[in-house]
Amino acid sequence: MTILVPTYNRYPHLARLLRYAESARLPWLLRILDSSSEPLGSESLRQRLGRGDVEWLRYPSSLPPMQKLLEGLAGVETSYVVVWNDDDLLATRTLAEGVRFLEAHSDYSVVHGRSAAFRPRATPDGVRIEALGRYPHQTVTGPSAAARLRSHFTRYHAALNSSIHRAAWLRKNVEQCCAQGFGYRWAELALGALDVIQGNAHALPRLYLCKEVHAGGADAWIRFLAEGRADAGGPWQEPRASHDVFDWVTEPSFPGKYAAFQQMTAEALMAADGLPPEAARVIVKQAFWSHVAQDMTSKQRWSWGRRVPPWRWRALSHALRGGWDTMSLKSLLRPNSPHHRDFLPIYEAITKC
Amino acid sequence: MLTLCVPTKNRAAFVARLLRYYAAVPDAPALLIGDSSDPEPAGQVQEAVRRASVSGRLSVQYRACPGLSSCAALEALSRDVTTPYCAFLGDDDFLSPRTLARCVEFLETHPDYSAAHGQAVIFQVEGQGVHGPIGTITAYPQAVTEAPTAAARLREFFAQGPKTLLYSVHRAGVWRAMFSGVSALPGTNNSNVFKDEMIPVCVSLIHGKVAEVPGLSLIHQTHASYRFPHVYDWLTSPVWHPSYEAFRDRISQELQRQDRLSSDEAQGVVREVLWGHLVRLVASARRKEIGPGWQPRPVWQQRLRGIPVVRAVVRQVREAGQRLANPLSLPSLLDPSSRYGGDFKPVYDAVTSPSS
Repeated sequence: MTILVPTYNRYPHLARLLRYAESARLPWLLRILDSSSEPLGSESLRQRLGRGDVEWLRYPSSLPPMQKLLEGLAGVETSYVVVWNDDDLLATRTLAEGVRFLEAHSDYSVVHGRSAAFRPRATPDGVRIEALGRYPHQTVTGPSAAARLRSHFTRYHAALNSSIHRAAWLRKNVEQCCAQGFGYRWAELALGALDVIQGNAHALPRLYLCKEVHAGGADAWIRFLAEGRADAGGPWQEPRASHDVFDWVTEPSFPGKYAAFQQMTAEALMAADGLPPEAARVIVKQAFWSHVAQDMTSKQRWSWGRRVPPWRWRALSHALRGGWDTMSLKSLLRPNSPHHRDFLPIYEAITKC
Repeated sequence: MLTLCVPTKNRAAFVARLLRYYAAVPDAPALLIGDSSDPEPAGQVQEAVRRASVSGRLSVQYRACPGLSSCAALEALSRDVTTPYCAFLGDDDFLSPRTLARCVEFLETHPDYSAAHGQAVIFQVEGQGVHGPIGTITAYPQAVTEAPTAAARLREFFAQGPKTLLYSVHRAGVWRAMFSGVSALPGTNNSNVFKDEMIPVCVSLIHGKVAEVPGLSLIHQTHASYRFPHVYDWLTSPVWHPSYEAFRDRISQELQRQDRLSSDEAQGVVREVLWGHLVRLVASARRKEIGPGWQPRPVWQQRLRGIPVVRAVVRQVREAGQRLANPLSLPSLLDPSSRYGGDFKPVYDAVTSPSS
């Protein structure tokens, strides 16, 4: 497997990632796809970027993210690849298990695992985790590509971008996105759609990803963050959800990009399931709008301040359905947590700067 | 006092039915027909107008609007209106003169209202023709808002869900503002949800409150073939964005003028109300897609209803129930004691019997 780390002007995050990778003794090559416009100030970071298991590739800062990813993928010679965002932290053991899973299951196109979202806070005593909670992940299986596509978009919780991919397929998919001129949002949807058309998506039952959430960023609407449910620290300043779906839908390019997305995804569906063109286009249309409808309605609830059940009731209901929410800082730090061993090095990388 | 603006295109038989109806009822308002028909049906419409004018009972003006869409024809007609009040009327719809007179009376005494209407029903003719038995009829919700500011009225209107406002009696000045410039919006096509409905309706709401007066005012015919585009197709059509921009700019300007808002505040209101509207449309479409859909009756019910006596009894019971519970059902409207019977009966006659 090769690990691709796209980065842009976030050297402190990149330094944290490399520190973690070094301490976790990752056995894979890290290809840093760096299009930063800021100078690399830190000498220790420069040293880490020069290590033998790290390949530091520089790109012009004007290069679009998808194009950068495509160029990064061009040099990948391994069978598997994972795209690791510079502000995320992935669990080493789960990565290794994911590769073994894909080796053993040819009908799966991607694999990932359980995820947590966190927000760090710098204090005079160092960095501490201000809030942490479950980040959505999903398993997508089905007898046909159409069934998987429907399932993926109807229950769309999170992108599959951070999953372990088969390198050849991801390269082909990213190529298609670049050919259509997709920006990040369209590419995220298109890549997820192509992933599930090409095979099942599996979520391993162990910690895979810890994702940093930034105030006002795309994930600022996440419920536990918005409610101020923090395991440590004082009151959370509620981030205001933006009408970003509205902005997206009212962009001048929306109809054209949608048409390209529909065409591209329908063609993949036709090739996978042997469907006639019109049937494939209808399936893509329904699946896409199902996702947009969820996005629109859920974010409207946030932005209009509609009441949601208190988290304790949700935790109780979750418990009654068969499991305690193990994705909290307190539980992850407990040695008996099934995720403790994977989380501890991540926790140390975040807090011991 | 009142002019009804009637855009039409290639539907001479509907225009003839409408003119026969107004010739038969007392106190008919003036009619202004904007005809976008092709040459042959245009000749038939002119002939129907000539016949109606000859009787001397009706004031009808004909204006040729070749090639114009419905909203463009309405814009053209709005310049010819000389009465203080006017309303839109589809060539296949009916507005009851009795209730229209009440609307005018109300607006005369309530200067803070820009529009008024009575109750409304929507019906379908069996076979989808000009004449025939009325198949289904149901209440047709029309907007009412008494909020003090334009922004609050827009919010209230969009929060109410889909309701119409075009068929209300409007002050002529408001009417002209509603359609002013809609036919020439850049980048939009001829038939367009923003141009045909949303811009005029929002401009009306911005100008003033909307009241409901007692009585049945609108009897609206619907056709299975006519639909606004599905919301998914609407949002992904090439004209969506220019139409949205035209809507945003026009409604923002009106809001700034009426409520003295800044440009950013006005655009924020437009964004908020349109966002809510889109969410409702998309969520509703999704519910329909994932919902259980139509389920056939159980076999035993089908067999039971196959017996003629049982079917007749069920119908009688259902109609009796509707008479009691729903004053806008067909049995209630045809009941001589109905409060809406006087408004509905002439329409019923015009629709069901070609010779009336």
